[in-house]
Amino acid sequence: MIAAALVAASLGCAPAVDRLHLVLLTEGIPPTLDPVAALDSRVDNPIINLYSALVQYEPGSTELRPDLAESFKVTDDGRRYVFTLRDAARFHDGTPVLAEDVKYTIDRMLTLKIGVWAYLTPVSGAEVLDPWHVAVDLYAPFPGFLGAMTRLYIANADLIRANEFEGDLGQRWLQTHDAGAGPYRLVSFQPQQQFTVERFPAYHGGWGERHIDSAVFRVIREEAARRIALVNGDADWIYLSSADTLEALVGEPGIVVNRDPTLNQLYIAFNSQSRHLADARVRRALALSYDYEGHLEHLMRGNAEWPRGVLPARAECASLDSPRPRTDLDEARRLIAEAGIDTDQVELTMAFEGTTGETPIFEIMRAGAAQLGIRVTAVDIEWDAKVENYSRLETSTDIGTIWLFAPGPEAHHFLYSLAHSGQAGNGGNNFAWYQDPEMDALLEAAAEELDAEIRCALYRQVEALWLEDMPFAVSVTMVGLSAQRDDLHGYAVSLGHPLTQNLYPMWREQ
Amino acid sequence: MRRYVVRRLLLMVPVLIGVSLLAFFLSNMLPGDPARAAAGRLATPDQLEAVRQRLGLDRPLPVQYALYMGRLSRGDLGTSLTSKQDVARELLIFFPATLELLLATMVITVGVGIPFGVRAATRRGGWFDHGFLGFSYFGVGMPVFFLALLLQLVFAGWLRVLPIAGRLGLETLPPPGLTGMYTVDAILAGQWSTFVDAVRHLVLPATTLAIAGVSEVGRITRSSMLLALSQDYVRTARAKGLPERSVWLHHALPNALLLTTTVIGLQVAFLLGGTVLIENLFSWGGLGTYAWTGIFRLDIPVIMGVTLISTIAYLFVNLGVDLLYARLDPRIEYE
Repeated sequence: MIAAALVAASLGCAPAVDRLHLVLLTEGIPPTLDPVAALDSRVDNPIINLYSALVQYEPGSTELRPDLAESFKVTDDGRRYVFTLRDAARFHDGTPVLAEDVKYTIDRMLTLKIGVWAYLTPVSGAEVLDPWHVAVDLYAPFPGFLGAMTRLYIANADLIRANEFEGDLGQRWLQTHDAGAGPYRLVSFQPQQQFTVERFPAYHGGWGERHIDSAVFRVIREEAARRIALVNGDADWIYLSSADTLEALVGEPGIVVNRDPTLNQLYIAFNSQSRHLADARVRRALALSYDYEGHLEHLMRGNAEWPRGVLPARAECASLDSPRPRTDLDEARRLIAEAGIDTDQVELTMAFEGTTGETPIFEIMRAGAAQLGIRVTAVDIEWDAKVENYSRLETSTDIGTIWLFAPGPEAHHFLYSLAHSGQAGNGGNNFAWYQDPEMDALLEAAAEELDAEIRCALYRQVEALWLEDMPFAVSVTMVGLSAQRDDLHGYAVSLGHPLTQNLYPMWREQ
Repeated sequence: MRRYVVRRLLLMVPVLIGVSLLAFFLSNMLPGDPARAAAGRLATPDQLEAVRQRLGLDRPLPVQYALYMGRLSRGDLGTSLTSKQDVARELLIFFPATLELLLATMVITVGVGIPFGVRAATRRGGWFDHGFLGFSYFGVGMPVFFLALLLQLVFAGWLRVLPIAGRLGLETLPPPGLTGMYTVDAILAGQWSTFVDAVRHLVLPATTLAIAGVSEVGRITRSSMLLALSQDYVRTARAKGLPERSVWLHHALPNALLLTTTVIGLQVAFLLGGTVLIENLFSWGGLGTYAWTGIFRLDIPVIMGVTLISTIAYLFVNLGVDLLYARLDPRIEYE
């Protein structure tokens, strides 16, 4: 076998390195290339390279810049945005990006009600004013609108219509095809293996001296294999999920490791409708029993951030004055005693995703609860099944993990999505089944408030109420881990597009 | 013989019905809602209901099963709930990849396992015999995922002689797809560099899968050969003055191969179900990966399609093994 290997090796040789070609090794293959599904970061990753939105974040920041839209105006009541399109923007088939395409993209999202629609539920429709002007209407003012619009990638209406199958609005065709106007166009898509993109010469953003010509995104699920490929020079950039691998790569010649800030935060839901957790004091006690420092220092080896309050540090309205989550067993025991709970009778269930490395989070929670005399049993479950379980109260566990990946820094995306009663059940993020009219009123008022100062004051009140009622404990804020060759530059994580690799700003030393 | 084959082929039908029944009801017992998997996580209750009705998921399970079997009888394996593609079309992409890996594995397993077993038996007690027995303990006992990582580390990481994962190099485009097996398609298209690239990518995953098979097949061949070599007909052959090599290969081995053939058949069955892990580790993009994602996304048509195609493959392998018995041992006759 070894001989066979060596013979095979002698027959082939490694390809010469193309300085304008990148090889990126990721963990998850996109289940589709349909831009409406870009709520999922595995989909957002190719889509951010293949498509353009009306507005987009500057790479590496949360600052918005025009993209397909040259400019926009908003009416005084904040319910209508009129976008003026660039006349130079072209889809990959050479046709111009027109207002009709924007309207089609919005109508398609509103009809399908999937994917990025979750971020844009306040949108009521769109109107074509002329080929270069389109109005987007909202049911109510929505300060997070422009941030959410960075995920609404504009698709080529004619191309999709031509490829519809039994009225599916092109869903089937878009699984493996590209109808975008982004900087790169799709060359090939091999399901479960890789996809290749190349530079689109007519990209409206223009091409300077330093850009990548083409790139291949290959899926290698095993992190050790990705690491070997990077060290050997077979890859230029790799995704990392383990702090151990990152540490092993530190100091490796020719390799740079990246620790990028994110808006992704881990919350631990306490089911407020569960028999034992209906009392907020018990929920607060459990939150106080969690070993946050141990999670950060030992599990994440410092490659995560200790949040303050209930928002990630880089989110809108996040405050340095907000308290950090803390472990205080004495206080936790006092709360349990005050609630009059007979801990011998309490056994809680906790849902987590073992396959994505969440087992230690369960162990930390179990160990903390055990200090209070409360038993926690494991429900190791996949994400889809967890969402399904949390869709109905009777199948929801007492405790559950939820990572929140927001499309932008707006506090609304975090707090409304987790704590509003309308988000409980039916696939929503309110795994705590938290229902409080005061909280709902605050969140609804903040969602429509256009004055940033007043909005943040409302979110301060939300935070205070949250910490009192503790529907969720805030565990850690993720730090994006990756590694790359040291001659690669321009890699910048956009906070609104977690776990994506935006090729446009990237370049390599010649 | 022809009647036997026809009878076996007909017997496959109830087996397939049984397997489909089991797979269908077990798939529906998985936690989760296939309607939500199809409609999207945040689908409204109305949308969920509409999807449930469109897919027939609102009907009782026995009715759903009957409808599925009705479509299946027309060769329609349904549409994937998540990718919206025909399952049959997707199977045509993923199954050949697994078949190619499986065939390469079997070539190594048989091509190395039988000669090693024969040599170990004919040199019983010698260094080769002891060495092979040691290797076979290692091969059977070593967890396959650990072996995969070890081979990747040595051959892709340290020696850098083989690619670490994938079916083709990053720069190589798949050959025109006639069979879906890149090695075969590359030969048919006369693309020699693609063929070499495909072979290089096959070596590590196939070797990883084959090591346990070589150990099993080699050990069985060794013990069967030892048994055969102690038989009277071998003594007679030797007494006739036949060269020792001829005695081994023409008299002992054909008899010893009977048991080996059974083990090879079992190996194929094991590999059909066991490639999931290896396909994931080597990013192979075959049936195992397809099944894995289907299960995680609660995509019942995919789960059913993979189960049925694996069962059919297994049944044909079994039939092939049985027919081979008759060829190896003239005393076996099928009516």
